[in-house]
Amino acid sequence: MKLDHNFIKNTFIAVLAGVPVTFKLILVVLLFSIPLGVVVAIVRMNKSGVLSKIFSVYVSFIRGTPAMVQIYLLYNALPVVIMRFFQEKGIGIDVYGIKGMTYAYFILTATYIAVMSESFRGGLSAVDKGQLEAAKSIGLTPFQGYYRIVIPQAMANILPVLANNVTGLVKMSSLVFAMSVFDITAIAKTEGARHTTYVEAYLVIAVMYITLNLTIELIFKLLEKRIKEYHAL
Amino acid sequence: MLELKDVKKSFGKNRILKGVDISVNKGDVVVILGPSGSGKTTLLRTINFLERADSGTMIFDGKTYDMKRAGKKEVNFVRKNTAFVFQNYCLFNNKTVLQNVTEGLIIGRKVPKAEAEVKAKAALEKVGMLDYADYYPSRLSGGMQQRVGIARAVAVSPDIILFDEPTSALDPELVGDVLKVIRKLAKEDITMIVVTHEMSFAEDVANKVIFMADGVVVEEGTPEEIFYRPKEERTRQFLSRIIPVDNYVI
Ligand SMILES: Nc1ncnc2c1ncn2[C@@H]1O[C@H](COP(=O)(O)OP(=O)(O)OP(=O)(O)O)[C@@H](O)[C@H]1O
Ligand SMILES: [Mg+2]
Repeated sequence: MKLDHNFIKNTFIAVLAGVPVTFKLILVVLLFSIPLGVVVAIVRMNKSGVLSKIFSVYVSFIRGTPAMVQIYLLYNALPVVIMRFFQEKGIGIDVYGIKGMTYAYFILTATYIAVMSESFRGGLSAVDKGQLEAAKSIGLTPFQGYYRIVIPQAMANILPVLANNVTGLVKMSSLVFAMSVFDITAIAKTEGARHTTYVEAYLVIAVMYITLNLTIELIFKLLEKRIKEYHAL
Repeated sequence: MLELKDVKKSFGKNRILKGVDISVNKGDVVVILGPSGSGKTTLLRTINFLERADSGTMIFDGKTYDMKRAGKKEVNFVRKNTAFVFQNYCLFNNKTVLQNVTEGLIIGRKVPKAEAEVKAKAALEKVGMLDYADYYPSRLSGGMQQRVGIARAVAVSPDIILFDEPTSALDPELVGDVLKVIRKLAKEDITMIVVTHEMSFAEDVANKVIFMADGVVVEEGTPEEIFYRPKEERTRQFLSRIIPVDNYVI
């Protein structure tokens, strides 16, 4: 098989337009799913309470269903249900008018809250509970105790897992084409279809994903090394 | 300055504290003794609201607290004026020795950083750990960690320090240094309650010894009274197990 070099170059240029979309997706999802994941993890670790049970069901649902199924349910099926409900009640909000990108942010964040919370649960429980009590005993609020003492240690404990989560998110972001979001995968797909040069198109984005994920792994490795050196955890 | 009245606490069906009364005056060093499981740790923790009592009253610095119902503000006030030294040190592993000590000042009490560092260094000097200010806890021996734990407590100038078996997790050869530090604090008239099994330390330093068993105070008095002329059979039994018999007169 002969690859069309010219086409590779052109696709590469076309796909570049999707890079900001992919980056925005990843950053926004991380920005929300990390803190919310921590909250879910802490609530679930303090076992008692209705909220803890609700979160536990939520995490099981997300973990137990393929991302494509979640996207179908939330992006294709749910708006129909909501729209029918709104029409019955005479509420004039147009659910269909919500952009695909908004759904993408929402669905990926929802998934990643569950993923992150599971990772944090491991990290948090590895931090001796006494340190939180010590923080309270010297006058820190529970929030300050978590934020300043417990969470940084939990993060450090699970850096390799977090690296996995982030590279996983990069890969999962490619599913947003199903919500008509033009990320790099969606663009490569259309370019490939237009010129029937799928192989070249997918090769281009494969290289882009690999480059991005290798960079992420490198950053986490450096972070880990730094923490080991200074904190000697 | 600190008085507890009828403190009760259960964990599930286990009644751990069955109505404990104690009182501590300013400058007192009160030692609490008692068999394992008698509720000593639980009692100290209820004072600092790390554990909520089921009922009981605390009078602290002239104010009265309902130990079950005290609100956030009251809890905060008590915590800011007391300090706790933990059996297993519980240092902040992501902070240096110095940061461990300044944390309660800068974050807990809004003391400016420069001033907090001066205070923290003075506290570290007092426990002989100033040379290790930049170390992370994981590089220190248990004895050193506990001395930092004590500095962390001292630095916030609490009205009372609560020690929960501060030396029982240490290798025997490290116990001496930590006890020396606590003795030094006792001489400075710092008020403290110390749960410990170190009898000679208790005898030297305490001006009141409380013997607890099964969730109640069985007997209290001066070290003289408790160690050499205990009134209660339960106290005698306990002491005979930890002090050689010829050491005390029946
Ligand atoms: N959070 C808890 N939940 C359930 N039971 C608890 C809890 N904390 C303490 N207990 C129980 O309460 C009892 C008294 O514990 P406590 O630690 O107060 O005793 P202690 O006098 O300090 O004993 P030791 O000398 O072994 O430290 C123990 O039987 C313990 O198992
Ligand atoms: Mg105890």
